[in-house]
Amino acid sequence: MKLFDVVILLLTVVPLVVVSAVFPTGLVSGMRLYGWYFIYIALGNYALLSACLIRELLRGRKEKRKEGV
Amino acid sequence: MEVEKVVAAAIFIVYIIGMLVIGVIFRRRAERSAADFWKAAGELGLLPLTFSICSLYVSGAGTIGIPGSVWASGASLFAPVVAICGLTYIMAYLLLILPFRKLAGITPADFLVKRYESPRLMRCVAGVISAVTTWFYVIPQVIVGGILLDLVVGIPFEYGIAIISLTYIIYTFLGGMWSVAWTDVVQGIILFGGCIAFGAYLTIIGGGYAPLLERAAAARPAFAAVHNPLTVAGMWYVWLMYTLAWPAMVMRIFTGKDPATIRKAFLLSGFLHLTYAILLWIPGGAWAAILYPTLGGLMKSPDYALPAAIIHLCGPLVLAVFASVIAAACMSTSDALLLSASACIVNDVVRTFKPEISDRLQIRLGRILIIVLGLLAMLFVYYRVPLIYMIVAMAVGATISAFLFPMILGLYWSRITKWGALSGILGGIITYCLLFLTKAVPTYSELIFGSAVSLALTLIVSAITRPPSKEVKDWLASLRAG
Repeated sequence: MKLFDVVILLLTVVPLVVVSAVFPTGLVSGMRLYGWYFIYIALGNYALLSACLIRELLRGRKEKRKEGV
Repeated sequence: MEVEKVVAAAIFIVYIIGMLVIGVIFRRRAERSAADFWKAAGELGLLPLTFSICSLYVSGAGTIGIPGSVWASGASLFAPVVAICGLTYIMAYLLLILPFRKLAGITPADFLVKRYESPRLMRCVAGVISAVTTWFYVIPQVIVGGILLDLVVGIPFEYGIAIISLTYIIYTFLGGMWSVAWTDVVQGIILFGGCIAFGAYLTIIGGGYAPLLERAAAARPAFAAVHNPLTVAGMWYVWLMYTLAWPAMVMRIFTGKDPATIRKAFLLSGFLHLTYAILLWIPGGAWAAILYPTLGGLMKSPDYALPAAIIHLCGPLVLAVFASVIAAACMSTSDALLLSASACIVNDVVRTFKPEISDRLQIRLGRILIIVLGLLAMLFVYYRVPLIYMIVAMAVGATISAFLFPMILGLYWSRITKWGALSGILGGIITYCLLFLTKAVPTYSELIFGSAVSLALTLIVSAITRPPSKEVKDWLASLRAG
């Protein structure tokens, strides 16, 4: 595994475990806060998926360049 | 007959004919070899692969069942499920795709057999567990089809089930993985287009997420219920680990044409799934709570929450159109599961006793199993079943309890032995089933205990049994390299 994989895995698991434990179990209550919870969830997921996709596209370009050489 | 019922019936007929035509088109291609029938010869491109991955997770049961469960148990229980919609694909992207793609098998048992040097026992155990749990997951998909035809077209539940079941049985029988993948493309475009557009509409007319949730909690106090931390943790864990241990999902890795395509397809699936879940599940359940705080009228059971909300907000004509979206979701998951369950029986169980089975016989057996398992699922639905979502969670929970650690630990740690893995598989699933049947722990948390037992047994038994051979260690290193 590369450093990128480890960082993404940590970002994936740690903050979302914490947030998912805080809200649904009632440690933080109030439906209005839930709105922000879902926004955080959506942005966090999109950011991580985008990071992986950009990495994938860059990897593809690099491989094509190598093949060209 | 009312206009909306005529429109709904017309949409259904066109839709069903379209799916059957795809089955006929791919019939010859599926018959070229067993690899063609089970995994489209490992040649699927980005578009069909993305939709065929998504269709396993985004099912009819999820589309109807989760808003229904949000109505019944509250938004908080499903907050963690939404939270992992993108992340679960990232887990597979990081941990599984590259090594499994190098393996070039058909089912997850192909990895377990080679990894643990157990061509008979491991293949048979893994095949039986995978086939049973995968088949079980077909049942809620069929129920959803029956509910929709009942509500929208007015066809009695029992007949609706038969129409939906026969359609996907026939096209899967004809075209194998090829028709499953290409019907998934059509179904996926309809499903995601419809769900995302409709979910956005629900959120906008509710005034945004927070006001909508506040109104739902005011109308139905159960919507704001909090849950046992173990229940919440179990819910989070089951769907996060889904892509790593659910056999049908792992089998998708074998169908893509190259590692780069497979990796991109998993990530794109994450984008689609997340958008669909955020926009549809919670707003759908919230609107049902506002409009129908208690059961009665159109709300015959919690599973009617989303269709009832659509009829109330948009009228029956829109529901008629939306019904085709849900039918797409039901069939796109059912066909894939049916094919996977058949593959597990033929590739794993039958090959345990007859390793040199010809391609022709594999396809013939596979087709017979598709008919038998499809009809059995249909008949099973006629018996009374609990909440749709419960069946889904149970089938997935049992599988993950069994396979997660023997597969992932076995891939990344060469010290895990055959007996460690076997005891982990059996210990995990037995613990899960006992806890589920006795209700000894909070609902949905059975998986945590099942997984813990599986992990402990895998490690302890591996520590006291003979380590794997050098060949296996070298092979594992080659899988992980690159």
